[in-house]
Amino acid sequence: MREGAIVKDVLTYIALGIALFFALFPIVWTISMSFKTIGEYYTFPPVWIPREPTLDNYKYLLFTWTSGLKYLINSSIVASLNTILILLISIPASYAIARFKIGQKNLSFWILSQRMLPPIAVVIPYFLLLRMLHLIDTYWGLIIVYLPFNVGFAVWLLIGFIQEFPQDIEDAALVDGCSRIRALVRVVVPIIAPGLAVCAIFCFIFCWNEFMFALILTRETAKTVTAQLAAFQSPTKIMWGEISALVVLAIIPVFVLALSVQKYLVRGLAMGAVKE
Amino acid sequence: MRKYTYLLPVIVLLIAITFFPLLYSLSVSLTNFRLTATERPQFTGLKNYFEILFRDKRFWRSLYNTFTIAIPALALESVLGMAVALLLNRGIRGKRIITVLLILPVVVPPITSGLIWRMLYHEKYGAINGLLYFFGIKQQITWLSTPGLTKFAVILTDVWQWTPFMMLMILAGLQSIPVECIEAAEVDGASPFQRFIYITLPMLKYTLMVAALLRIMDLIKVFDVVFVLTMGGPGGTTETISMYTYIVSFRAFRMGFGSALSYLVLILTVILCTYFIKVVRGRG
Repeated sequence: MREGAIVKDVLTYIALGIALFFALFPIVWTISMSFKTIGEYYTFPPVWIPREPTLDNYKYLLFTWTSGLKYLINSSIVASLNTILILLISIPASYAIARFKIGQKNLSFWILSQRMLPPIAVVIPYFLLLRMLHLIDTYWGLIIVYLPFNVGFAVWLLIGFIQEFPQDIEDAALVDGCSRIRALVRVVVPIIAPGLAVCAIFCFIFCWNEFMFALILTRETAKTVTAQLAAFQSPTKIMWGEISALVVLAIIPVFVLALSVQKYLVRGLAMGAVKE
Repeated sequence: MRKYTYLLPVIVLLIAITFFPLLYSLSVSLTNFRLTATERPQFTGLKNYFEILFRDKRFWRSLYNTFTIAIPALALESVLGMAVALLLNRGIRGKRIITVLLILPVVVPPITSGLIWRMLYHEKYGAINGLLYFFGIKQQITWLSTPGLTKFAVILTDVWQWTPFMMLMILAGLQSIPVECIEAAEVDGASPFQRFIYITLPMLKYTLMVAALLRIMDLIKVFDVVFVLTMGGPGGTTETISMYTYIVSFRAFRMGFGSALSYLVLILTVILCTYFIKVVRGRG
């Protein structure tokens, strides 16, 4: 290899190293903090690596002050139930749009545009309406208001998956006297199962990460982990160890899920706008 | 089973959970409804809208803040995202693992990225001042209470979280450029810089456009990060339009006025979204 090429490679790695530091340092620092004692995070200059790592912050969140565990469970319940409903609603819808070509592109764009709704524009009527229906601070309240955001995205993503899959197999089933709905359930759904999983994971992450609705539409019973994280910062006492531990616990599930669908991240993030 | 039956659940859902609430808030925006008031709300017509547009300095300031956060953030994210994508696209070893590690910030809940950076910016115990101390800068910088710096702090947090998104989109775009185009230019003696300006950039135009529009639609709604970092402070210098609407509606409980504000945000988004769809459809 020529000397110039080696120098270029070294420079590339140095530049990428800086990028990696910028991307990962905040996360690594937070993980380190979650294992520190109060004496270690209130020092300057900071202690970079805890000298006596402790699990106290996690123990406090999960076992002593059991609410930490409760908020994590609440987030999981809301996200899971929302995801199930989303799949039930969007499988038939995306099937109809992909196969019957209903409404041409207008309908699918209209459904997709739901994702762009500014949360602040709908949170006021949601708050007032849920209050009338006595659904403030309930799981169902949150599950319902997350539906429009996820449905647009899910239908859009699933149309792509259904179109990719050859129609012949389905036609064969139809010729054999299978009804449309049976063909959908027995033939299409199993074949696009990986696509459904990707779709479910994105929906789950959206619910898990959402903050504004959780803040405004829950109090204590249905409070999710993101709402609790914001509530931590009282002006008098900032419990960095506990905050960091809860941040880590809130991040782990999304990391695991995102890594399992990393192949589809571009499609998911761009909502199918960029053809791969 | 009729064809439209398949669509029924989605249509019902969107009418019940999008259209109806939006119509409801439109009607609320035409009243002086306050949650704390005991008397019935009165119909006031377009009064709220006129007040916002012609008398409310705080609204215009929040709009100004939103764009002075959104535009620099978008610019930084595009430039840095492009730079990292080009580096990754040089066919180096370990590209996959580096990409995976770089995109981690994207999936973190925005509220946690706000909290993480709040701790990083802390004037006494934060890691940023700690790092600066390490490099010999002993001054404790008050990142979150100095008016000029605070906006920068919000922008940097957003750049941390969303640059990987731009990077990922641009990388996908780069990989779809046919190798022959680049090679042909190379044979013709084009310098790397010329190849970038005359081939790569024009071929990335669509990807960049889509990515930038998706980002700007998100950026004009920015709320979570501001909520934990600054609460709109100091002195309202980071109060974005979503933050202002939140304070009016859920701290002052002025639902009528808040609904009118939220409608203006909605109109802004609809304009951008329509343009976005036009761009995407123009391609398809």
